[in-house]
Amino acid sequence: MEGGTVKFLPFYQLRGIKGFTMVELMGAVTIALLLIIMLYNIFSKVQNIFVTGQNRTIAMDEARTAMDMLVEDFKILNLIGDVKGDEQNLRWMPAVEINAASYPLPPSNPGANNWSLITNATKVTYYNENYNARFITKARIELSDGNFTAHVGPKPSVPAPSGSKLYLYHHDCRFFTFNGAWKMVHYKFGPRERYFMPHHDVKSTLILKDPENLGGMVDLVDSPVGALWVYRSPSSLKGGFDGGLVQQLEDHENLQKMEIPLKWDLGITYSKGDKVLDWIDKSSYHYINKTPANKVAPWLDTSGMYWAKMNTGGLDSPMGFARLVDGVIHFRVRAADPRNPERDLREYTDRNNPFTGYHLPTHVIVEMAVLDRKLLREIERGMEQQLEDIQLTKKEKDFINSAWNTKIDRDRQTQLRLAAERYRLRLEEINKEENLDRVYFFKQLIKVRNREGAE
Amino acid sequence: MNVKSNNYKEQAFTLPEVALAIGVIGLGLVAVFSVLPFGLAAQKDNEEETIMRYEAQYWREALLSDGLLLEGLKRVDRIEIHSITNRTTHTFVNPHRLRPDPNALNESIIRYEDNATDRFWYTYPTNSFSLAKARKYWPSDIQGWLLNPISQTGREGSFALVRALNGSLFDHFNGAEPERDDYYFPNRDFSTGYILQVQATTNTLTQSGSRIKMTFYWPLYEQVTEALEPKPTAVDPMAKYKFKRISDIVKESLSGGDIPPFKSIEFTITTSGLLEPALLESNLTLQERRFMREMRVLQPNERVDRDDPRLKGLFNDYYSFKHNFGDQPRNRRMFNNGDRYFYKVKIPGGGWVGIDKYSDRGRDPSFRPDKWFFEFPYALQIWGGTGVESIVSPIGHSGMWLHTYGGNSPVQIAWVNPSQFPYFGKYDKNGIFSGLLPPGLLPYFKNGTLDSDAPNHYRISFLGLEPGGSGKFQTWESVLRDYALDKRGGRPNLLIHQGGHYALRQHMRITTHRQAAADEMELNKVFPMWNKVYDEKKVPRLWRVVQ
Repeated sequence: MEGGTVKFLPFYQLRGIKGFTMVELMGAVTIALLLIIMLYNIFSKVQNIFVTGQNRTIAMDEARTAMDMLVEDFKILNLIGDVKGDEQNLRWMPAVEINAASYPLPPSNPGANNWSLITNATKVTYYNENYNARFITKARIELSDGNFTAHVGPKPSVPAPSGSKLYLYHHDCRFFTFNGAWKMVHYKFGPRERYFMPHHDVKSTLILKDPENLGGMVDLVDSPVGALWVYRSPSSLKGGFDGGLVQQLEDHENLQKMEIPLKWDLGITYSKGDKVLDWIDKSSYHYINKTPANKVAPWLDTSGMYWAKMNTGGLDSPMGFARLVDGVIHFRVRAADPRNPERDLREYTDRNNPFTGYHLPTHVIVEMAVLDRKLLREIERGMEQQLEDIQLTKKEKDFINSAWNTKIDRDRQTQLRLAAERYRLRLEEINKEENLDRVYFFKQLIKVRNREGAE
Repeated sequence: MNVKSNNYKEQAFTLPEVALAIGVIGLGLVAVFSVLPFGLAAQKDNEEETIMRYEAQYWREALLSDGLLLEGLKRVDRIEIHSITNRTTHTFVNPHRLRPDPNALNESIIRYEDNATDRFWYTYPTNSFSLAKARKYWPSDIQGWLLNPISQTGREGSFALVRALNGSLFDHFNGAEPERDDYYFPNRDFSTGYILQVQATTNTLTQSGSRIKMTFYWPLYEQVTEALEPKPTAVDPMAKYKFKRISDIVKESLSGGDIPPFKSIEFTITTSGLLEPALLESNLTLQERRFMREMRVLQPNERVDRDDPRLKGLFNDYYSFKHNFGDQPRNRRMFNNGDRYFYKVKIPGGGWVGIDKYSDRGRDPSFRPDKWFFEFPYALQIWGGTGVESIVSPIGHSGMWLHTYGGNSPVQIAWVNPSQFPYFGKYDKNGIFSGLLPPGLLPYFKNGTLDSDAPNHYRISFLGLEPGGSGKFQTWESVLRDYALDKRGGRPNLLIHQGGHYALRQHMRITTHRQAAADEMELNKVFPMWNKVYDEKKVPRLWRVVQ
């Protein structure tokens, strides 16, 4: 090309020109292709490593931020100032240990108390083999046996070491802090999109104070993955149970009562303005728009009914709790009671909690395990097709048909069992060896420094 | 480059040109790809540093926790402490790892000693109580050893080989303690691990506090893991006993030897508390040990109060004829036929039965075994509900005194075996423990062989005879005053006397790795059923930071 013009030679003139032969060209193209493929492979691998690294960095960063916040809060844990000892300075709310199969399962008889499935019993035994339903096992992530072998000789027959598994805990902890001003702080593991489980009896004031003693219906839980939620009350300059902290407790309970919709039930008398959870879409709620008592399900009531999507965290997070970190599968808090002669760290239920009155822990240990974003997507969305196809066994269907009489009950039982199966499959997916590198575990020991007024 | 389009002899790219072009492109690609590892390495470095910072935060609180039993410290493979006084390096291996002695397979190695030329090892029987105790108190031992001040260890301080607590679950699981020495996780070498160096120092001149420097070295390269934990092979099954010292590895890495340079990060803890040796059972007499064991329920600086319900078993005497269980009398009695003792329980509406045949023995004990201090029976845990240790007081009876009604001198309970049978001993006027007293030598209850005999009754009290053979009886005031004194011979003051009250100064630390006390040495000699206490004379001391 000269002077900006292109000159094409007539075909006959090309015959004498020495250029690349077809063979040379093909060779060159082949080499170029090989090079491109090689480069693509390298690039793709580097890209994968980079993305993995980036996901890891993001997950670690998020978890680190959350852990830092937890550490700062637990450091200044303090007394509520209730000398009578009715309120606990550090309280583990019920729903402590998760049992993989049983957690989302219904009780084996319709009258049983469903709430107890997620209380802190170490082993729940609602189901046994006689029902051919599901074994009750504690939810855990572990290394498979193949990862434990002998230096010399045959593979061991001994069980894998205790440290190669992690039992999942979904703790819910409330305490009080003092750092110039008093606050109530509440960390809880909850579902990803909203912080609470829909519950029959949520209208009762007791539910928030003493949920362990109330029966109720737990919503479908079909994944072990959730989020860590936090609530920090406004500061109170006056401490003590009578000085303002009790008000903070009540305010928080009221905030939750405002936000948590009721479950639709013919047995409950609703008032105008009550929020009722959608029958199908658990992320939506309806307002009861009639007064007085309304016995028509809001979604069947066409007279001015309207619905709203529930908040999903982030900037427009609910007032009751804000989402601190997503993709959490394990959140556990234990505390050292200075009067515990064993000098180990434990979790306590309402029945044996020593941290009342003027008594505080000396140390708190917090554990958290978080999935990286990509794994979270794979578990929560990527498995949808696989999870759609699952079926109950014939024996399980027969059991449901024999144990429940109405179609509604049978459908509910079927749905609950399918949810349990989805839960199990998701847990199994997280437990795959290639995924263990994408779950990050943090553990921090925190000395409780703020012991003003404590023993 | 010149391309002409109007000539038959068109010039194409020459081979050198093409080669040059490819060379330039190649160089460009090499340059691009050579930058990538830096990016990835930077990412990895960041991640590792984050983990190390978290580890440091954990260790900081662990070292200052005064012996908290943290199960996370089970991930410590090994502790290494140098003693400048006897020029010995002590290596404690994780007692959870069954490491059989090649010369006695039912013995497990727990400690090595290296002097300038040789290496010795120490073992415990695999099923021994000592090994079980070493496992239970491994976390508090680690804290105590690592706090050995550099005045004891030399400038290098102490070392720990650790598998990170924080990080991915892959690392967490594969770095778990294998619990067996013949089995292992093949991926363990890939899990994040590090060497922790602790250099503790206290300003003894100004008494202005302590400084604890923690240095983390990582990663554990293949050469490092191979040198620190050589794997046994069919050819060399003894390879694992030929490990290198951690301090040598660190030196080698720093001096540019075969070990590549470690990445490292330092953290320094400054605290107003001083370093001091922890209070061990070997510092105390039998009676003092009982006192300090009961004091487990109190915090340091908490008042020792006779009205404290948690201490009722310590301060209130026990009367065998006032024993109740479930609101019913279940009196106890003992008698001695000159050959052996008999211990019996009165069943309501029935007769006297031997303690070994008493069905409620698990929940309604007579003499409380020493073992309960370490392994509290399940039956009592259930019965006690929460805070069992607070309800069951005293938790053991050794160290207390048995008083009888026959006008004889009281005698001290030296040991209570797991079947709730007591054995007696006494200190002479020189403070030497005279060992077990066979029933035939004890005058008590000899005349009371009948179930109804009043002389068969007894009283158990913490208070007995004053030491020194004066024959005087102790009083609580004399005991507490004595405990508030700093005594020569290694026993610091157990209590603080302030404002007319006594307060607990510190907890007693339980450890397997200590010297045996005089009474324990006697029991070691005399009684085979006794859980032998090994007399580890040269073992490094445990230290603590006074908070």
